[in-house]
Amino acid sequence: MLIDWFTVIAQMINFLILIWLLKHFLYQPILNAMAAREKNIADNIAAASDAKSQADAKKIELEEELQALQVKKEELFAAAKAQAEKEYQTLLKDARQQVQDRQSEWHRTLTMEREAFLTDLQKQIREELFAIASLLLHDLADAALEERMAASFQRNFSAMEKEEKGRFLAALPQLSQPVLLRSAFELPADLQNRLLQSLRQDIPAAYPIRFEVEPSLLGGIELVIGGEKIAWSLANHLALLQQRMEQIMERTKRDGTGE
Amino acid sequence: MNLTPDQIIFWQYGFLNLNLTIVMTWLIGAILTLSSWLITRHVSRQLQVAPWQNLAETIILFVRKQICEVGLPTPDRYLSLLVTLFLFIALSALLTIIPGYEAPTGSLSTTTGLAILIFIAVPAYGIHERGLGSYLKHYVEPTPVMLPFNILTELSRTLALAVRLFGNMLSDTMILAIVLIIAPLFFPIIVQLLGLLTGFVQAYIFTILAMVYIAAAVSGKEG
Repeated sequence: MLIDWFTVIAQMINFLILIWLLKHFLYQPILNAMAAREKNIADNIAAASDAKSQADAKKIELEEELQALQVKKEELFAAAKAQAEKEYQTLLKDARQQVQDRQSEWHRTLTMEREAFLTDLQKQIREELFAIASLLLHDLADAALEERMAASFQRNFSAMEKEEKGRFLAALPQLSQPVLLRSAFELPADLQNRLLQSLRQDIPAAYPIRFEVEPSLLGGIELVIGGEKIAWSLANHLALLQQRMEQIMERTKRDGTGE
Repeated sequence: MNLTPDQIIFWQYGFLNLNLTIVMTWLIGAILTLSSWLITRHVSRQLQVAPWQNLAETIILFVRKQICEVGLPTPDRYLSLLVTLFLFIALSALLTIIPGYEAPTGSLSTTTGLAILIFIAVPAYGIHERGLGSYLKHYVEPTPVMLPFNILTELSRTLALAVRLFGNMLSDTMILAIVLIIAPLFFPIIVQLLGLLTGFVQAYIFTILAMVYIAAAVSGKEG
């Protein structure tokens, strides 16, 4: 008999027990471990994926920041360049201004120096000229000239406008001292008389007329009533000469400075 | 020589007996249980695993893949039965390299017991998956005339399963005995190795057949 039925049943029971034992000791723990490992791996992959997407997001963010910084940098650079250009222009302008100022200062100094020199020269020339003229007239002045002068004075006084003469003579009533007739030299008596006659046509006899010698007149005669005077003298002509000379000097100076 | 280890009896009381088949089965069971305990005592859930755990995982994954390939949707439900079958039969064959060892699968009682378990498991899984009515209906398909033939198919394939395993395991021992007589010096080793190979092939075939029968019962299609 090849089949022992007791053994068959015993083996079936043995096998069932073995199934239970292996399920308990082998399959369950191994399957659990495998499931746990799979879950672990899946978790890790998910975490890595998360981290990757985070990193990607961060990367994009950083790239944007970098771009913004680049733009900012360029803006700042452009602003700095513009500022530098502006500064450069300002400094250049200042420097030009300074050069111009110095130049004009120098010009002014130069002009002033020349003016001073010219003024000085002019003054000296004028003085010299005046001195020569004075000397010349002093040498030339004599009685004949006196007479001619008196005649000239007489003619001038007579030729005066009536209004002007009236205004001049209006001071007579307030006069406390005599009317003065000054001359550079002592006038001869006949000339004095002639002059008196002529003057008395306009000046009443109530007002005395006195003759005085005044060497600074350089020849010539002047009539003084209070603060007013009418004169004909070489000094007057010399003053006119001096005035003209000054005008000429002025013109020369203007031409010299290029104005 | 003994044709079957059933005949070596250590203890007997009436029809109860303790023969070599049972003792060897216990031995194999003990080895499997003990090694399972050792492997899973410090089971690792991380990527780094011990070599033995790796081996166990490889076997389990291999069977699971096979189950998936024959078309069973929830492999873990059949895993205990099928992996245990494979390990038991494979270890029975492997231990034949030890002198004095008798494979329990070389006993027709053992193979019959295993075949009967499959014979019970197939309709049990079928009914569990599809319901009693649906399962029984496949006996009268395509026509009720096929009912006796279907039942006969069920019985005959179970018998074939038992006899195939028994025959192969026994043949190893027989061939070894014969070769030992003819050429005692060198040939037995080659035959032994060949036996080892056929033992594994048998373990694979028995497991695959059981798997196919269960798949047929569960899916309602003939395997």
